[in-house]
Amino acid sequence: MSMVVRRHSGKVGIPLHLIMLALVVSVAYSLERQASSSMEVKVIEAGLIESGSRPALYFDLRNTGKDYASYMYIVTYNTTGTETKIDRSSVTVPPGRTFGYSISLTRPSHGVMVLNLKIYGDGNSSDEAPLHNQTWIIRAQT
Amino acid sequence: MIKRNVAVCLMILILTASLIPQRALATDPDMSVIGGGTSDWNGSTTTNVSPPSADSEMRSDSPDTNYGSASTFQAYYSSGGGTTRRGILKFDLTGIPTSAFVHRGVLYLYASDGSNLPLTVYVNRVQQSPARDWTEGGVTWNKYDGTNSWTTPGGDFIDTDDDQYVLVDTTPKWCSWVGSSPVIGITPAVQSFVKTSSTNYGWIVSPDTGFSGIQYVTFDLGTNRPYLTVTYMNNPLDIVGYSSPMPRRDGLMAGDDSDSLAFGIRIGGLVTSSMTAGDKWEINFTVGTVNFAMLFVATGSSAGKLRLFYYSGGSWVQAEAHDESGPITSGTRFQSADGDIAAKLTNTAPDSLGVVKLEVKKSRLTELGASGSEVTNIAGYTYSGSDTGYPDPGEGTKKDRAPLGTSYASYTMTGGAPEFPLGLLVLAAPVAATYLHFRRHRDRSIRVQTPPTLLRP
Repeated sequence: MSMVVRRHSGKVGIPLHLIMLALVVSVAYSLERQASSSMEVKVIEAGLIESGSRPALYFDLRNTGKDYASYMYIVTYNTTGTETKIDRSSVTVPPGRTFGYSISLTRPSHGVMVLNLKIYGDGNSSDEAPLHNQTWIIRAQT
Repeated sequence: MIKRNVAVCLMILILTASLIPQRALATDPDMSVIGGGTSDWNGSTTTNVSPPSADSEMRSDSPDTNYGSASTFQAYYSSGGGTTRRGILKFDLTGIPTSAFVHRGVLYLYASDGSNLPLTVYVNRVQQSPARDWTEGGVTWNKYDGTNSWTTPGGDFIDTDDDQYVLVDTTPKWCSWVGSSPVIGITPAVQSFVKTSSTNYGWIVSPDTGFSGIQYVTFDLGTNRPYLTVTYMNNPLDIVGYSSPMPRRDGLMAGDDSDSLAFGIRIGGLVTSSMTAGDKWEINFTVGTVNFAMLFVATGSSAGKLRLFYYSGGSWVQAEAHDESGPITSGTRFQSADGDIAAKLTNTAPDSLGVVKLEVKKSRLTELGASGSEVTNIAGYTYSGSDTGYPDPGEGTKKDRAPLGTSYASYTMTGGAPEFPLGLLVLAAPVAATYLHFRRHRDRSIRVQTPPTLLRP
């Protein structure tokens, strides 16, 4: 009886500790990710949500510096056979703060929509190279 | 045993993962009117409609006689002879836009004589369906146009009266069917007539029949002709306000749930498919020590920009921006991709006010420095001519404000702005539970091993 228990105990001990260790590591990793999300070096996060007939472009500008930062963003989109639309705006982000932007679009009924996002570090000029320049192709709904 | 422990661990991990707060989309809190009294009422229009387009009298004692050219009519009842006399009149309201939201309608009749007062005089809408398109030269007790009979002699009308007036003495005077809170009198009828003029057959004016004897009041149709006062809004920038003795219809609303804080500006004339670029609806408010502004500015007939600002360093700073390229439809909620801000525009209808609803997640307000549950310094504004490219708070030509003047409204959130990262607690709790579980299991294993040790010589 006692041997059975000891053998059982000896074999279980390692996996249990491993599981505990894995749990602690996973929790620590999660906490680290949560904490780093507000301090990460990357200041621009952009993406396209392709949901149904209303795709949405979004981006976040996070100012990790110690001073106010100005940005200019230009969203350009055109659908096959239609006029190009440009939405240009400037924004100032205080240190440690985040600016969130999104635009809800209408998926084209035919052809494609070409969507471009440019973000410049200077709030008043697009002369310099953009901090972010990304283009998406949105296809017609099938 | 090992499989069981692993299963428990997996279940706990899955549970933990499911409980970790995601960046969920904002909700859609209900709102209620908040204090603040009247709005500036810049855009409301009041018009007097006079004379009636048609008026006459119907007598049961002369059921086939037309009184279309008479200069008076009576609200008359005789219990002995069973005689009843009623007035009938209607007004042409086609000069008021069919899209208008009617605040208030008041009917005025001049009482020139009477007997055995007080007498309650009722006004009931003439039946609209099937139509009773009566004519001034043809209406009698038996017929509504000289040819076709009423279903009920004396006039077919909607049973529930729109309003009633108690005349207490015989002194000649103007009587007004103005309604009293919470009854809004003939206003819904006027709204209905404005919206669909083809069903405007006016009212029948009847006496109370509870008196034993003869009782009547005579109304003047000649010198002091009846008139109708209509106050309405037909501009999407008019914030609805308060006007005694109408029931409260304050233009500002607020509400919240565990997730989001919402404000509403109640307005007249809003049609989401035909907005004017540059028209703007804005809410200013304070949570804790931080001032915020939320706004929606129309950038086209059915498109617009939604913005959240906070006041920092002596100026307004944009925190969230969402552009809705349209088409924006009435009652359909739209929100930013991260769900931090949302809006819903509801058209003004003949029987309901238009509403611009602006929502913001409480967690976002907390990120921007808000604290506590008290929302103060709330004011709603409308502007025209705002810059559609850079719509800043206060920009444009101010059209209206609620509350009136320089006063503000306040609101207490049910949940307050979250201040503690609950995610940490959710992560830590399962870890602690797992630890306790295995520790108890280990203790049990040690206890089982103990007897052989004791038996060792």
